[in-house]
Amino acid sequence: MKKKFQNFKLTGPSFNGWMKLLLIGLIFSICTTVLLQFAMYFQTWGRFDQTTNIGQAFQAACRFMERPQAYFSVLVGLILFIFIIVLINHLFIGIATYWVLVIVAFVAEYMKMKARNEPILYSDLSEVTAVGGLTQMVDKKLLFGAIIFILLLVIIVVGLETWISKKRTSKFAESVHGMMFQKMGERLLVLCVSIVLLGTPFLASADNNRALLEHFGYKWQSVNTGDDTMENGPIMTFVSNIATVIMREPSGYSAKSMAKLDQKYEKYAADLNKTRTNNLSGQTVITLLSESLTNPNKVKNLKYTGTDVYKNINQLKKNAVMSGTMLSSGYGGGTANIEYMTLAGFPLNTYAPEMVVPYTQLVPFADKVPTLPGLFDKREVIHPYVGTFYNRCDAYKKMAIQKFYTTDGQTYKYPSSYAGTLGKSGYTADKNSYRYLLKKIAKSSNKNSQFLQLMTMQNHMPYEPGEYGNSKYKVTSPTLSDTAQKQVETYITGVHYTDVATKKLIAELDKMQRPVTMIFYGDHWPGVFTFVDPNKQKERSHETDYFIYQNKAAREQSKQTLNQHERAYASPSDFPALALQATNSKVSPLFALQTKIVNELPAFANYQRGRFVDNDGHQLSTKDLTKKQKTLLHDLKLVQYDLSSGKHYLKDSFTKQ
Amino acid sequence: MQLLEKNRIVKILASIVIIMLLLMQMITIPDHPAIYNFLTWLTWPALFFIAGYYISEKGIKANVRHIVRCYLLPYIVTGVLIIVVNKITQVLRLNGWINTPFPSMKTGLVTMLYGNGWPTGTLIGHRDFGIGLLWVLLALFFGVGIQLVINKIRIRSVKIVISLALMVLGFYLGTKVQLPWSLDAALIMQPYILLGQSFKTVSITNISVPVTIVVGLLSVWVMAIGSGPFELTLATTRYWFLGTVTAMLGLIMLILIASYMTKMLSNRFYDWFIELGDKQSVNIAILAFVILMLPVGQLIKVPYGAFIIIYLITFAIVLAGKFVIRYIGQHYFNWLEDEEIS
Repeated sequence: MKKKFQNFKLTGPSFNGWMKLLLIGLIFSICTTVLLQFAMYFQTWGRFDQTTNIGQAFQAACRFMERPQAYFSVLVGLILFIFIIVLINHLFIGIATYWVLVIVAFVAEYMKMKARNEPILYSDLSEVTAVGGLTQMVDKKLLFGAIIFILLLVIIVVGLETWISKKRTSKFAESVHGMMFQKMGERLLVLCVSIVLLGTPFLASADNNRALLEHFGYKWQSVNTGDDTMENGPIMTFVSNIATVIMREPSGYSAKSMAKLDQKYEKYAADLNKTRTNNLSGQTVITLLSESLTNPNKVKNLKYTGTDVYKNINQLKKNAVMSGTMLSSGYGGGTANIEYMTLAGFPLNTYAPEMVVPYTQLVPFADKVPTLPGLFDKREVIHPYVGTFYNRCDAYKKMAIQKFYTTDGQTYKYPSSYAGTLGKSGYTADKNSYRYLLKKIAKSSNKNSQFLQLMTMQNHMPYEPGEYGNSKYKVTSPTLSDTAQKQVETYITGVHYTDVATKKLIAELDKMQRPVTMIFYGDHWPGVFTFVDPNKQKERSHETDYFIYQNKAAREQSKQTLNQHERAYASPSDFPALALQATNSKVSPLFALQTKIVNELPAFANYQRGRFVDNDGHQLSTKDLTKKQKTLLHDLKLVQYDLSSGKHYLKDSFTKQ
Repeated sequence: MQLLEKNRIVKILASIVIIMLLLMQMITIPDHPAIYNFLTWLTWPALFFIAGYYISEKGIKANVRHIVRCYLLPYIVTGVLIIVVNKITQVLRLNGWINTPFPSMKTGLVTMLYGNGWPTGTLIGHRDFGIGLLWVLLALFFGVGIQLVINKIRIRSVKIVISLALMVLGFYLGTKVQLPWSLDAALIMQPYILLGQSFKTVSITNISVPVTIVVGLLSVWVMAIGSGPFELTLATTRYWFLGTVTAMLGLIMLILIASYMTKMLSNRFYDWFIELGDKQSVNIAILAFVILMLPVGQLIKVPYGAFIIIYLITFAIVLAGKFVIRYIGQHYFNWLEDEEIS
């Protein structure tokens, strides 16, 4: 007993031993930070310092060491190294273990960045079980090199450990032994401390985790995790994704209350379905997100010479089965957030304020993400641009999207024959992406239901002056700098091309025998109107147009006449319910709830929390809602919470797809 | 290790500190943040370590007399001189040649009485003026003064705990408000002063010099990148705990470098080299005056070659000034030759 107790004395390496351990650890962790950053920069994507020049990539990785964020990576590497050494208590085996981990991380980071310009995220760890499949995706040369390196490391380690155990009295062996823990006490203490330090991000709440990272200089890049990792390093980006606040628990959330909601909306769905005659088979539903599209004629003080650039869309709105104004959450950007709302049918305003990018903060962590596309047999998204932004590739998998066509897609590549541009623009013209959309509809089989989403790019910033050659549209008011004026003229010209192309698209859809329903909307205002202050003109600068168009076949199949102005002001989250209403399709309890929201609540003004807009355009706040409306809003929050970060009390039948 | 050898190490350390301090004061921070940040993590701990080393065993009265003569008097004299020169410059309109850091004598006097080095939020509201590097002398005076009080405690471990607690308090208060007389900095520096005091009885002969030096360099470099400077003027740093550990490692590194230099330097060169760090408080006072009053800052944005010349000229001014003051002190005011150690 006494001997055992003695064994737990706090006796570890000497001061010199600690210094040597620290020295090795510091050098290794600095090398690790540079190496992982090199994996971020040695890429073809061309973002920030990304380059295929190995020397320049290495220099960029070294320059990262001048940033405050590098300290966090070095610290994590150092603590991990000490943890491994203390755990194994054999220097060379510990070093080899550390480097095997680093090499695996390097290969994984490099390959994921190469494939998608995204670093490894915490949610990716769920794919670790599919090691076989993953190794098949890895560049064979890189994999071979990594295996050779690891084998060499193992051979050297075995040799050194054997030599050390035989030559215990040599100076080198004594020095190595001096770094190791001879007694259990200090070893246990250091082990516990390092476990706590490494484990903290996994145990801390999302708020605390973010505070911890920000303390270390973390600068969140909300739009792109690839950009985030180049700014903060892959270790910080990984830690930032461990925990996230999706939504705070609404009052009255319990298994009992959710069971009641289950019953309530099952009954409501049954009532709705009595008059709904269709399912979606044999139909196509399209959501067409027109990038940065808004009506220039509605921009305050803007006047231009030339014909009305928006006349066709205005006419289409008049001919549509439903049309109105969409309340966007973004200004000049934030496309994916609006897109999420149109697919999931949930407004962003009811989530936590910290949850600002659902594709990175919500979808990867949510238990279930029921969406409109999930109701269809074939589900495809077309985006004539790179697909790496907003973590779409990962998010779509969870949102029931089967195929995602992008210009950089490896499995599903957007064909270059449909990628023609206008003038000097770098973006695919709408008329060409519409052609590809029509091709997709034409290829669909008669019986299957089909969901298509097209996210255009033509009117995306930066609106270079003279992008479309000499514009026939000249801005006469307000007075702007020459560059700003030409940029607005470029935008207006782009809108004109969209206007014409959309008219032609509708004409083509009309010719089709297949029932097609299309939700067309502009996602947000462009950031080109420098004379508009989005804070002072908050309402107007967040309003875009939407319409739901049905071709003759679809109108005949739905067998109903809709009130065109039923939702004069709509939130993007209303679209799934409106689409199902337009197609007269039967609904699940979830979509029944969303339909009730559309029918009984004013539209969510997504640009301001707790704000609504009624059908006459009046602004309302939550306190202006009736008791019944407040109850309905609370029901929505309970369902949102249960599906995203709650305990998933709702039955599967509630969200059946 | 003999005390004599320790004295030699500390003298060398003092010379290293003044070289670094001068460099810190002269480089433009936005242009060379890495160098500045790196130097702050080494200079401040070493400066207070040296002050701790010179706390004698002769009793509190002797020590108080010592810190008044070494730190408080130079502060007051230089402070008054700055205010007077400031006024003369304004009256004679010599602004092109000499800086005028204070718009009036009253402002200068209040700033001197408060002792804040930099414009900051103080107990008497936000102050747009600072006394410059002179704050160090006040921080040294109060830092050592506080340590003298702690010395009343006989148990070593309690002294360590109290010093660390005061350091934490200093960091905490530094986030709230700048206390008068650089008290935040004086509190933060307690562990280093204690370390300096303990150095007389600690053996460093068994420490692996190259390994510890490299660890010190690497850790200070990484900390300087991650945390920025050890901004003692405003008593703030991003990572106070890790920063303290790093500063300790950096300090040990400097001590080992100084120890190595004592063995390597010939006696003649050693004698010359320790002259740089001798009478450190006079060095600081003159440097503070030169940096605050002479337009050295405007000459800094010059090529590196010219910078070295300006650096050396400034160093020469500081040393020349010190030799004059020391000569006067030793011949007319009975200054001891080895004042700090006595």
